[in-house]
Amino acid sequence: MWQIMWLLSLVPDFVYHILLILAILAFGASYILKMVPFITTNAFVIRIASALLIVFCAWMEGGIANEAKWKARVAELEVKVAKAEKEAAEANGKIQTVYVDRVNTVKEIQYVTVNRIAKDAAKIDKTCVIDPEAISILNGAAHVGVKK
Amino acid sequence: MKTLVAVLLLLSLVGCVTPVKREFPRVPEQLMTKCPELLDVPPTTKLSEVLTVVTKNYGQYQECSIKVDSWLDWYNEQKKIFDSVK
Repeated sequence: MWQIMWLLSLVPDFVYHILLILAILAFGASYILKMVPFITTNAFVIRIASALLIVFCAWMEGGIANEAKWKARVAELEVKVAKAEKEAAEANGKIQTVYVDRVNTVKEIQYVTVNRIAKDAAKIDKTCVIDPEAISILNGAAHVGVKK
Repeated sequence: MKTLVAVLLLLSLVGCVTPVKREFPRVPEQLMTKCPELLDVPPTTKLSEVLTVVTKNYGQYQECSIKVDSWLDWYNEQKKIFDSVK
């Protein structure tokens, strides 16, 4: 069914406007223009045909109005989506900046700490000797729950 | 009959168009890397060497923690933006 509607939608909108006006005129003419022989002899057929055309065109006008409403809604959404995409990119930029700053701070502090340990190594190592078992325990703890 | 079926199939394909296309929000590249594994302490008796490795592991944890925070921020921000489009 929608394929038929799709085919009908290919016809320009003004065609239905003109057809509707013509159908109304023809319907009126079948009552008013009785002096015209063609109309007088075919009045019934003209009335039925124009009435059917009026119903069809009115239905199509409804469809056109509905489609226009949806097109406006789509256009509105497209604007909103474009704005959202821009905002998303801006948010990404901010998150990226904060991330890089925080990681740099961590690296700087780590660098300072490692240098401090190296500087005071002699003092630290003088009073403490590590048993190999302690290292084995520590390394084992470092890999608990690691995905294999 | 075959032509009619072909035309109907073609028409049924023509209608399959989404009017408003939305792109899935991009994720910053830095957040797309996995957290590295913790470093092992080399066989040693020196506390300073152990401390160095522990410090580096702390650093890795901090970086990973920042990454998780950033992912949470990213999700919350993107959800807020996504929900604003109605």
